[in-house]
Amino acid sequence: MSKVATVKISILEQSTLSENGLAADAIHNTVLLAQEADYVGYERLWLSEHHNMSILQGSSPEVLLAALGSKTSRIRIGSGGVMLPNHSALKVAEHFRVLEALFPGRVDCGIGRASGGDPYSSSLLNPPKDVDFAEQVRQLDRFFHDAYPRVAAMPKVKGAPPLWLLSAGSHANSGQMAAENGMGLAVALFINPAATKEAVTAYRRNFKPSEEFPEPKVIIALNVVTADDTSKLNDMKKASDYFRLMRDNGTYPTAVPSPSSLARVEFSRNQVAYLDQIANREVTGLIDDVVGQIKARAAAYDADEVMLTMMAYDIEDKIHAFHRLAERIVE
Amino acid sequence: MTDMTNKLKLSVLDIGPIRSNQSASDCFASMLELARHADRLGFHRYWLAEHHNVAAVAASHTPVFASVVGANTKDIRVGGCVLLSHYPPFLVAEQMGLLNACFPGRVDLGIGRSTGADWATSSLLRGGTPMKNEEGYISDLSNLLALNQPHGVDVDQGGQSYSFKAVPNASSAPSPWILGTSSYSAQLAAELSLPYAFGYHIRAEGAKEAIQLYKDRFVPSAAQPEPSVLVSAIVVMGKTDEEAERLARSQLYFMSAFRSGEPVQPQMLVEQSEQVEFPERYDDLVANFRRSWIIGSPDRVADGVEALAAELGVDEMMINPVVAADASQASNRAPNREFTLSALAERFPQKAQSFLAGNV
Repeated sequence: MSKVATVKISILEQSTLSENGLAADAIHNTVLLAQEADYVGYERLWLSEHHNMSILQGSSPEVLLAALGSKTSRIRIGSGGVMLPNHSALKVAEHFRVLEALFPGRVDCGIGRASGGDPYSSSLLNPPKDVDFAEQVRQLDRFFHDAYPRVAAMPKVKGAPPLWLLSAGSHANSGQMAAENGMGLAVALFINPAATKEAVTAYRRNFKPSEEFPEPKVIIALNVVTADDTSKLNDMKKASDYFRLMRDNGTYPTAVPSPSSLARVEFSRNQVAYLDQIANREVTGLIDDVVGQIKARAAAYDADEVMLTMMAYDIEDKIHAFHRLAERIVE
Repeated sequence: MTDMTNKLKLSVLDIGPIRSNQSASDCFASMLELARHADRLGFHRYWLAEHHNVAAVAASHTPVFASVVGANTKDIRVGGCVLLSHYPPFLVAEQMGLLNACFPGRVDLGIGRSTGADWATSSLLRGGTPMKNEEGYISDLSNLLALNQPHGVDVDQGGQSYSFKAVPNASSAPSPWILGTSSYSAQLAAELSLPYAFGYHIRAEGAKEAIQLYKDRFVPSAAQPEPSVLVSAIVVMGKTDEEAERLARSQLYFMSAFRSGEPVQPQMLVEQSEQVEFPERYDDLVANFRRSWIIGSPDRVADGVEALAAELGVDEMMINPVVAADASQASNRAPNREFTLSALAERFPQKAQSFLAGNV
């Protein structure tokens, strides 16, 4: 069977706040989605790290992952990602070893080098002075393998959570660090529609095997907009486009607007043209159509897995859409 | 039953003792079972301690493990110690705020100042930033308390005010507590109008004076009109006094080594502890521990808990049950710790009281 037919799917969850919703609702929705994803066979669910951002409520992946692990039974859970420059590598290592001890063999440690927020937030998060990202990654890897002198990241656990590098994939050498350190590579197409396959090719070519990754592994992360019928699809597409337009304009909306709020919004011709330009960030369409697109994307990027993220006002729509996709893709 | 018996609130402090036959996973499983047990018995809080780079204890990052505890329990309040010396206040506010969004209204944020770690570990946790001096700590504490509020803080940047929140759109906040073992922390809690948890399990000397000072100097506020104190104590319970003595050996040995700054191993099982000789250099420490630990049969322990609460003038006791396990017991459970809670709940019924008092 070809790789295209056996593509794995997973979810990147950002705990979005819906218009007039509360933080507790956003977090509860993430728990509901994780339980559904666990049930219908998604490979993994990752949580993102954002700060001081109303619409994306997930600030501390490790804290919420601990609850998600308790509420699910088989799905892999992880960070997508911990923004390592914001943190002490020892602290991150201890967090993930606690998770690994609790949910052995189910935990992924995805790390990125962005800030996940405004510079002011980052400055408050204890960025170690003169952070060297590569050095932090090495430290983390040593803590995971009890190879750091004098200090052990407790608790000691048998396995190490696999390390994944989150990359924008802008250059052919974007995945170099992942290749050299035997890490997985997750390319964020939903952030950078210009990500190239060259980054994946170079990663695979230069890959040095590690204990956790005997083989290279590539995930591409896409935005997905899908529904059973055109009317629902249009509503969801508009919410998704609205978020992206605002974000790229430098003003994150405070919440995902309801369809009735969005009915008052008209996109300009320039905005529509811009959305066309960045169309590579996502797959859009009715369920059957999107299933084909997901498989085609995996093939185009030579990816082992496609990670999907979805912006939706109503959690029921989101859960339903993810359920329908799994029915068609998960074997 | 006396009045005291009727109104004594019971809570649990878990440092996550790792036994010599336990993996980290076993230890966590036994902690979660203890938390579920405490929840069923109507205990008020299940708090975690914070230690790093210590092979004998598993509780390190309160927000992460408390999240699992919350997911495995229904009513009991979750949270515990966060050592602010290691972390920036914004990070703590985010993590505990997210925990509270997961389990609204059930979260306690206990703020401690010690490092709970050796120098190298503490420095790594701080990302290489310098140790906070007193001024820096107090400033971090006030920032944490401000950021812990759902409305966050307004920050002035280039003449423009903008709103800064650890959890945007939070509808409630974790309840902050000051943790301490001295008159310094008592004074701080009183001035800040916060509840105060005295770590009697760490330092018994001066407890009475510190608690009295806290009550005398307490500044009432709308959120906290009256002072509120809890006291944590180490409890070793056996079915008889003799059995309790046997069970205490492992903990006495571990704590003696730990306090002496010697390297510690996962804690001994009862059989192993019977084989070891206590070196003479531990004598003073052991004598000291015996004065403050509550060791004995269920009735003796209940009397001890009640007497200590009365002596210190508090209505909530936080029980820190020791490891006390033998090789025959399943490594993913802690039967003696569960028994300790059951026996205490039998003598100080909790359920009706937490129902009447509201779970605050």
